[in-house]
Amino acid sequence: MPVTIRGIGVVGAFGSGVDAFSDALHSTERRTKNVVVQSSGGQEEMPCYRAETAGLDEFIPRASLRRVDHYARMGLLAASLALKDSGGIEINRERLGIIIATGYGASATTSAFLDSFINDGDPLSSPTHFSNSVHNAAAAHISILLRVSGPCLTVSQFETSLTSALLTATTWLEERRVDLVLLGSVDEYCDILGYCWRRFFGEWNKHEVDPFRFDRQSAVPGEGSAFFLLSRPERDEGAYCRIISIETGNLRNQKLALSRKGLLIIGADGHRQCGESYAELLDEAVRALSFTPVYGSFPTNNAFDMAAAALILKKDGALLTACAVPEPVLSGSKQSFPREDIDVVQCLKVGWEKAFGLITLGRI
Amino acid sequence: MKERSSIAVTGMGCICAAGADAVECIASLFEGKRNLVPPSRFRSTHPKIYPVLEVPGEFLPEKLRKREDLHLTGKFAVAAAHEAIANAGLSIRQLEKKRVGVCVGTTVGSSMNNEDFYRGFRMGGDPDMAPITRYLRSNPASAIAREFSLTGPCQTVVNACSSGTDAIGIGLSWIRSGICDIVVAGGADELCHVTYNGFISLMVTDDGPCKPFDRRRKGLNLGEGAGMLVLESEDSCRERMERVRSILFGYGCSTDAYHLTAPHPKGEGLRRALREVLRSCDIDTGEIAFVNAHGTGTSDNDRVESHVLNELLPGVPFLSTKGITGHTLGAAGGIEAVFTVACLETGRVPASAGFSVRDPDLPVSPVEQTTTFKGHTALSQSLAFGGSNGALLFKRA
Repeated sequence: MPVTIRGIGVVGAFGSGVDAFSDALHSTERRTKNVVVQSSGGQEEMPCYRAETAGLDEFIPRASLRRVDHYARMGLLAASLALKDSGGIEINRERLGIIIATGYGASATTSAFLDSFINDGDPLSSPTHFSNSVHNAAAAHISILLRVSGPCLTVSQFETSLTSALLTATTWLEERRVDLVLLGSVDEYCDILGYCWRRFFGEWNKHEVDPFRFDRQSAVPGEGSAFFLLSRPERDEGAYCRIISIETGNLRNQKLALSRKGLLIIGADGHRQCGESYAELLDEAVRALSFTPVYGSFPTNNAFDMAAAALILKKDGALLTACAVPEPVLSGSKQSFPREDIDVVQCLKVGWEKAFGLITLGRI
Repeated sequence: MKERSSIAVTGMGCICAAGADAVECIASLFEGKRNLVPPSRFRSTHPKIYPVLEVPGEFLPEKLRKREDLHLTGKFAVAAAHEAIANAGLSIRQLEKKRVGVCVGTTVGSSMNNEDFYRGFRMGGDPDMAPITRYLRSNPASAIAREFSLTGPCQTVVNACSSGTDAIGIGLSWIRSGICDIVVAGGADELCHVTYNGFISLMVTDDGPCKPFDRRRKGLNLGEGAGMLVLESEDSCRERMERVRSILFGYGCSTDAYHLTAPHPKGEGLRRALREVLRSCDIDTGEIAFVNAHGTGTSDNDRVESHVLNELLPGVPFLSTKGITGHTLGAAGGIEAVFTVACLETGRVPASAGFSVRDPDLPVSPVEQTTTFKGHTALSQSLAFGGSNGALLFKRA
């Protein structure tokens, strides 16, 4: 059953909200900040796409956020923005589900909990850090602070987390378990992830992600949250687009059918390890582009790809100048994407060990 | 909620402190065996020892025990999946021809919280990256999919302590919606220093054997293990003519929207989850033979469950199996689903381990001895951090 995207909320290095995101998609400015990364040779400053949640007090009283960490704040802000963006759609919060996809969960708070007992001994382990370190802490804070009492789920499947979560969201809507689903992604950057990144990949790109240089490690870490308010297709008025199909599996034993008519947004984010899979899938007939230079590399960044796809399908606006396209000309230049004939946009994310998720969105 | 076809349970696998496989675990459950030990895989500086229910190393098959690529949660998940798939009579060749999904609940299995690695990082050294590589390869759903070359959807549910129950409920949805013919679903989790310290810091851990629903209850005992079911569509079962162990009839879930770690004092979310599953299955409360409760042994959880069960299912026998397994967190829903199916098959439920003194503040108490029942349906329910509540309804085949 197709589902409809009714509202979008996004939080990333580009800012927060659909307008900021749309501006970023039309801009060549990259908003990275330097983070200090530890290595055996000492410390080094490296670029990273960090998200800010300053706008959250528009939705949640500051006092209620006292014990809410950055991971959950990103989710809270994106979820609140998605509800606001839906334009006052009538919501029975007992019939609203929450599904969150995350690659690594609340990594910074997990580290803080470890610090609490490594520094001060087991008896002084922090209960606040412990309860906020569980992967579903963001979903819990959203349900409590936005008073959502329908089913609540968090899934963690690295790069296929979003696709897997979306699959369950569609079954919930199809079964009429809920009327609406707040489906979102949350992933954060933290010191330990930066350290692991450094150890695994060695080099750290100091420029921007180069998604179509599949043979090069050009990833720049990022973080952020993207939420979508999803409904059954009978509630299409004012909506962005429909999600037509969701495929997930492994490229080792499955062949993918990529659309030759629409656009393909690839989630290639500068990881050489995954690059070859994209290279094998793309040919001249596929019109491919990527926006990862706008939000950086992290397991659930394909939620931003999905938001970009929804904007392309809803708005016949100006050319998306931020998109990266293949070179020399795998599928043409940016000018070869006449929006008026785009009825379908696919979002492809390939992860570690060739796990993939393919989401197909269509115009209403 | 719209309900459709019933889904068969054709295979089960289980590993926990109570036994190396489902048969052993179920035997221990009826014998009331409680294998509590001090934690052996980590040292604690707590002044008291809080006993746990660890899986002895020899419970894992030797081949699996020696594998360097998986952490313990991954090994538990794979062990239970092997047993469940064999129990379902499914060969690798048969699996190749079907659309097979994997949905597994966990908590520790998805957390990048390896303490030795983190200590090395903090000291500014170059700790061995093997624990991180192992973590990346041990996502429980992916580990099972890789082990059996399964190509269907793969989902690791991280909904804290209701993860296993929710994973089975999602598996049910995937089959009903036609996404899969078969789903390997359940939960897996390992004990570690992080969760040990975490639950002690919340002051919800008993320094003796846990006593669910008992007046003297002081908290939970942590456990570990995995419980897996093979869920199968009617068409797939018909085609294979395989024995059906039970019918998974429905799943209800709801959220308290109340507190990060405490259940809603009136059990609002649990009540909605139970009502939803009963309504969606069109089952009268009188048809429920027993309830496998969450029953952690914590003051709040047991009080809430007792009140909700008294209100919605008065007179229905219930028990907690956590006195035998410990609280296995993300695995609990999987292990308890295995126990629920086994009890439906035998027509008996064991005494609720650890219970002996009625709490005057609780309106109902669990079964105190092995009890025979006549009904055909049973519930298994889970409550979790974050306020998630899940309930599965099984029917005798």
